[in-house]
Amino acid sequence: MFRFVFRFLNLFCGGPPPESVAEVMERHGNRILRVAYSYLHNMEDAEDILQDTLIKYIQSSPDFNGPEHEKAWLITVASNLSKNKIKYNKVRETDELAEELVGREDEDLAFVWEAVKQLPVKYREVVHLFYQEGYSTGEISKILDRKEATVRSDLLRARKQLKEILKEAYDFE
Amino acid sequence: MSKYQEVMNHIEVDDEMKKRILQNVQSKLEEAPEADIPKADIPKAKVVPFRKYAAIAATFAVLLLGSYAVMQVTGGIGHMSGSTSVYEEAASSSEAPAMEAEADYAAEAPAMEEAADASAVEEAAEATADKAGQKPVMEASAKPVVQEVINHAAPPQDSDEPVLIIAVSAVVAALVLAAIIMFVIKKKR
Repeated sequence: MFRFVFRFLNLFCGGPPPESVAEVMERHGNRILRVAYSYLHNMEDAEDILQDTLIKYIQSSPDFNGPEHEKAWLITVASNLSKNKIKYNKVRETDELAEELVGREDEDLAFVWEAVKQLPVKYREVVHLFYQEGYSTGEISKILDRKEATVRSDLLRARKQLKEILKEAYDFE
Repeated sequence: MSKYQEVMNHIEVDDEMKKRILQNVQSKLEEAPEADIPKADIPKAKVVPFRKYAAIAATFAVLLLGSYAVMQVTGGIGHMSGSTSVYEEAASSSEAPAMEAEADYAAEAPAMEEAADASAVEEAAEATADKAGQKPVMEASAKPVVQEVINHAAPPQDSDEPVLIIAVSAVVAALVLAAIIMFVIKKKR
C-alpha cells in the first residue's frame, strides 16, 4: 500500500532524472569491466561487455530503489552478457592481465590469477562477487539467481580448490 | 582475499577505452533509436499490477460498505449503548401525549355529560353512544401520536448517515480513480 502511494506521488511529482552514460561509466565502469574480465579473461571481450551493458542501461532505463540496487543490476547484466559470450564464442587465448602481472614480475598475483582462472565459471563468479565486490552470500544468490545454500557451497569448494592449486602458500581468508 | 583485489585493481577503464566506448554507445543509439528503444512500446518487465490496485480499492470498498451495513443493523456505535434509553424515551414520550389526550378528553367528557343531562334521555343515549365511539377514536388518535413520537424518537443517526455515506463514497471513488489513473499513465509510457 505504501509503495502504491509512493509510486502514485512519484508519477505527479516526478522521480530523479536518469543518469547519463558518462556518469554510469565514471561510477561503475571499472566494476563492470572487472566482472566481465573475470568471466572472459580477455580485455577486448570485456570491453564489449561493458559497452553492451551501458547500452542496456540506456535502453531499459530501469527504476532503482537506490545506488546499491543500481550496482547490483549492472553486475547482473554484465554477468549474464558475459556468460552468453562464453557460451557462443570461443574464449580467446590472449589474457592481458596475466601478461601484465607476469611482465611486472608480480608472481604472487600472477599465481592467484592463474588459480582463479582455472576454476569453473560458477565458482569463479562467486569468488569475484564475494572477494572483489564484497557481497554477502545472500546478495550473491539474488544477483546470480541461485539458492543461497548453493552459493555457500560453491564458495567453499572454490576455496578448497584454490588452496589445492596454490598449496596454501598464500594468505586466503 | 586482498590478493584477488590487488589482481583486479589492474583492470581499469582508461581514458582511451572510455572515449571509445562512449562513442560506440552514442553511435549505436543514434543508428536505430526506434528499434533500440522498445521500452516505450513494449515494456516487457514493466507490469502494472492493476489487479493489485483494483483489489486494494475493492477491499476498502467492501470494508467500508460492510461497516456501514453493520452500523445500520446495530443502530450505530454511538447509539448502541444508549439504545435502550432511546426506546425508553420513545415509549415514555409516546405515553405522555396519549395521557394528555386522555386528560383533554377527561376535561371534555364532564362537559359533554352535563350537556347530555340537561337535555333529554335521547341526548344521554347519544352521549353514551358518542363515548363508546370515541374510545376507538381515542385509540386511533393515540396511535398516530405514538407513531409520530416513535418516528421522531428514532435514532438521530439519520442526520449522520448522509455525511458518512458521502465520506465513504468519496474515499472509495478516490482510490479507484487513483488506480485507474496509474494504470492508464503506465500503459501510455
